[in-house]
Amino acid sequence: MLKQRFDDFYKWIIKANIRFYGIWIGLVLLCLILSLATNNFLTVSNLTNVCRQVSVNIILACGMTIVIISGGIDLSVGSILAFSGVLMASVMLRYGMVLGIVTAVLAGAVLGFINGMLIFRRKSLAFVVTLGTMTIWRSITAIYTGGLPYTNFSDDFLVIGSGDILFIPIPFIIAIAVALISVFLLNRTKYGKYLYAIGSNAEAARNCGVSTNAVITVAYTICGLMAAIAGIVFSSRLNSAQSQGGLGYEMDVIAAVVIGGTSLSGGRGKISGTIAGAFLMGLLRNGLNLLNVTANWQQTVIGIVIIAVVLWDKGGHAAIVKDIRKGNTDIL
Amino acid sequence: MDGKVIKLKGVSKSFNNIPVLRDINMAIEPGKIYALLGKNGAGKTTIVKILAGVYQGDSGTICYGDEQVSLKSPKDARQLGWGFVLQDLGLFDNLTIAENIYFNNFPDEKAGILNKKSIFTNARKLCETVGINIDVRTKVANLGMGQKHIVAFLRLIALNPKAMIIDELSSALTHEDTKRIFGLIKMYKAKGCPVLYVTHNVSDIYSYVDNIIVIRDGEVVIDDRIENVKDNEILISMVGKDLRKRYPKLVAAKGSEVLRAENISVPGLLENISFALNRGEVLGIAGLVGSGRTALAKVLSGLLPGYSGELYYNRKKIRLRSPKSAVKQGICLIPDDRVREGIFNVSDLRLNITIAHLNAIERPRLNFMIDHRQEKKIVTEYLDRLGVYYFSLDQQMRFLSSGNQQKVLIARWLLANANVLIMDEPTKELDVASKVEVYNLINEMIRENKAVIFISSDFTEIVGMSDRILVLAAGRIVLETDKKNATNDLILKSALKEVIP
Repeated sequence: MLKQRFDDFYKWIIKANIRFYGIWIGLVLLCLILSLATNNFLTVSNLTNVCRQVSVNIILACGMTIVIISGGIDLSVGSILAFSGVLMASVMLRYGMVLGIVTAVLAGAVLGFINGMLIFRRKSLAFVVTLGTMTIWRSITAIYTGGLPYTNFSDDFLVIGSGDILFIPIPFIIAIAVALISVFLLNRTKYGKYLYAIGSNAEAARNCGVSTNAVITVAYTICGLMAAIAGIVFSSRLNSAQSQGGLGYEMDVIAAVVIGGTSLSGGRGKISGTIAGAFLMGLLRNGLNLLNVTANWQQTVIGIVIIAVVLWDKGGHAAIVKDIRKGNTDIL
Repeated sequence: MDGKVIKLKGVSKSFNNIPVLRDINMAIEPGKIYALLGKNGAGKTTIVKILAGVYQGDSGTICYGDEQVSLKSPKDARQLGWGFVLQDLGLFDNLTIAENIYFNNFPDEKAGILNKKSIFTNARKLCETVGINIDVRTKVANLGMGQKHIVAFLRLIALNPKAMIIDELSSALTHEDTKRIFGLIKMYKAKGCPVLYVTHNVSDIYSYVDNIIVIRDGEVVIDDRIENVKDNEILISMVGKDLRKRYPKLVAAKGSEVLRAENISVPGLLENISFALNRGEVLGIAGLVGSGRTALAKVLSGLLPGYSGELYYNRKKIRLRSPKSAVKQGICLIPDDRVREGIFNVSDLRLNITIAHLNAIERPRLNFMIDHRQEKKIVTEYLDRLGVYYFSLDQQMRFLSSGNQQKVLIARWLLANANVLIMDEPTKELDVASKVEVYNLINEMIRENKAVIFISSDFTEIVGMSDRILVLAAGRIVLETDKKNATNDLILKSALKEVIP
């Protein structure tokens, strides 16, 4: 009886929690290695720069984490980023910054809402649907801009991307705010519980009286809204809003989420892990830059890290599937 | 006549520390048809899966002829020339009948390239021998259950097997089809094939088999020629002594009517189901697989909104369009596939218990937020009350034993103030101690003036735990009786009424 208890406890420790704490250990190790390997890594200016650089990814990744926890995925975040950036610039030109920002955020929410409505409770369609909307939003943006970028924004607006408050980059403050709101939503609200339940077992959630369609639609709406916020920060940093903005960003976003320990099959995930994942990639890129490694090799390293993390992850999707196949959850 | 004997020696198997097969010794001799009987949960399907290479026994050996064989995967069994029809058939819905019959066994296949014409011609010829008249180009998805079973059987025949192991075929077939199928089986028996035919009731194949093996609780209790075994002896050995007296059923004061169904019908599944349920009552629903029990459970819990007929809850007419509407009223379902449809596997105990009634743990003033202290209090309270063995509220549900998982599901609906709890096979896969705990929980519910609808394939259990019993067959109620007049035999015979015209 005692041995059984210990075995169960051991299983629990390994499978449930180490995947979420392991990433932080990895991060600390990485910082150690990089600070030893280079001169400039562990300086305030370098680290705050990294914070500025990972901000857009973190904002996008928070929305993506929410959607992935629900058991889905949103490939269109990069396109929503571009769309809202361009829309904001266009409105800003005629009606000022505030209205521009508000319109952009609303647009992101609407695009996300459309994603949710198209998916309509069938989370398995998420991949294909958002693949489609990804192409549609971006091409509409390209048609609207005619291929030309909006640029030369007002200084007031540029502060968002390039400014600091007490040495902390403003984009990073925005990213942390978005992260805190996401944490609040996931951990402290009823909605968060419904989201985790649907990701874990959508059918069982429905049997318990959860309005699965509404919860999923809201998740995609939030993701779109956050993608719009990312678009605003992005356009400000680059002083440019164009249809190519955020091209391919969804890959880095998903990478951050997965490295952070969130399971792609849904039901499990933490924002803190996602942030750690974003930083792991950001610091890795930064360190490799300081070591003068070319961009292509950087991508190779990051790809290897992603694979290593997913394979080593003992509580994730692969481990669960193996359990079921071994016959541990069906008898006779 | 040539053929080899299949022997199981000392085969044992446990799942998650629950023993399912204990030291099984069986010999299936060539040229004989063996019926393998036992009630649900006895271990029959596990034996089949071990022979099929899907599972490996924890101990013991399997011999074919004089040699010991190792069955590490279905491929090994197939290479020995053994053919199977398994309970879940394993057909490909999106492929045609012909393609299913000859799957991985394609006639005239040359270096991986298929001869489509010969697949269809051969399939047509095979169907004619059994007297089946369906176009072999029909997709399996469009077939009825009985037809699907026949296709699975034809797939077995197409392998020209040296041994046949069939799991639960005839309960989905008409009398005529069963006769034809056994005609074919007899041909292979004459060629020296050993045939193992698993079923949980023997009446429909009595005249075809040579030997009977009965399994109970993982052990062989009868293994003899059919002439030597008496009819009622089989039944008793399958279920053990009449355990009615051993069930801790409490009889509670009957309260007001809580649920009434009038002429509930779902095309193809249910026909004119009518019954009434009072508070403090346990209504047992018995019937074989396919009799409509699960369909009825789904209608009552809002999962089948397309029903015709009326439902009355507390004497008020209601329409159940979704699970949400049923749960709101207090009609709750614990599905029989609890792992796939009931449990949130990767989520913690907190979520699993509270998810159906988050209002119980909401913050008093900000209703959309969770009060974590209240959550901890309530979850701990319910886990302790039901005697669930756990070590942390944050542990994932999938690490709980089946018995404890079932208790958590019951806790979920107790918390959600269920007034009518529909339990579909609640004690499936549970060990004896857990079964008793579930029975006690049912008693507690009816003592608190709730009602329970108890669905089970285990007739003894239904007789032991119900106040009244409905027996379903082919979507209709064929018997309504109360505890006093019910016996296993009566229920079994009624359940089979529609199968034998």
